Amino acid sequence: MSLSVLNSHFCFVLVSLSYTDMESAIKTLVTTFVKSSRGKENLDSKSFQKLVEKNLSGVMEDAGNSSAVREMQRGLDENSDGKVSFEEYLTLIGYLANSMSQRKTESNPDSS
Amino acid sequence: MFSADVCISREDEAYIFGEVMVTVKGQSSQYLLRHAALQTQKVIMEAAISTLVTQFKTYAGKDGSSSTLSKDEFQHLVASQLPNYVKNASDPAVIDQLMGSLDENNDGELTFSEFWQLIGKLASKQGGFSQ
Repeated sequence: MSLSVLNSHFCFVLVSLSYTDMESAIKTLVTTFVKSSRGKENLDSKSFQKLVEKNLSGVMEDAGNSSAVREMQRGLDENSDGKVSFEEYLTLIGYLANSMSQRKTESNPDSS
Repeated sequence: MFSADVCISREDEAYIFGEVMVTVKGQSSQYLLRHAALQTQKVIMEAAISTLVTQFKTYAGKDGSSSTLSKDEFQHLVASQLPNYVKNASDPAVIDQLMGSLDENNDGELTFSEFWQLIGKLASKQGGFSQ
């Protein structure tokens, strides 16, 4: 009887090491959306809910509240197609980033 | 140092970082890894957003108003932080054109919101999304 400890395979892919923090951050914005949309251009409501709940609970208070998220989706849905496009998603992230930026300013007041 | 992706093959894929795929069979290890991955997933976007905010503030703080980017500060940010995504950042015409397209109220300074338009454009380009 053979001992199978871990049936695993590792496949290392060396990626470019020359991306800056900011470029990596931008890439993260993209990959988060792409993974949730599973290759589609838009997120349907369910995928959007999932994206928010799994990824944005650190930056948003009601990330787990489905009715709050539905409201937010309605607010983002510029073309009212019931889906969240990448652009609409970026608008949301921009809003969250801006809020974070203002929170950081408040806790570190300018002394000029 | 290299970045590594841990992708758990279940109905929900949970990614940690980067590009390596690790497939682990066996219930308990699968659960632990998935749990760790989901926990990590929560912080990934927060970290990315935080990076974008912090970098903006770092460059905006160099002179004048610390909550907006002057053209000079913008040029420094683009040249240092976006070398792969924006080519020819040392060309003043490129910076002029870019800044012009972002500066909505034409006051010669970029607020975070105005600057975010650039992030949006670069992200859309990265992802192959038409704007």
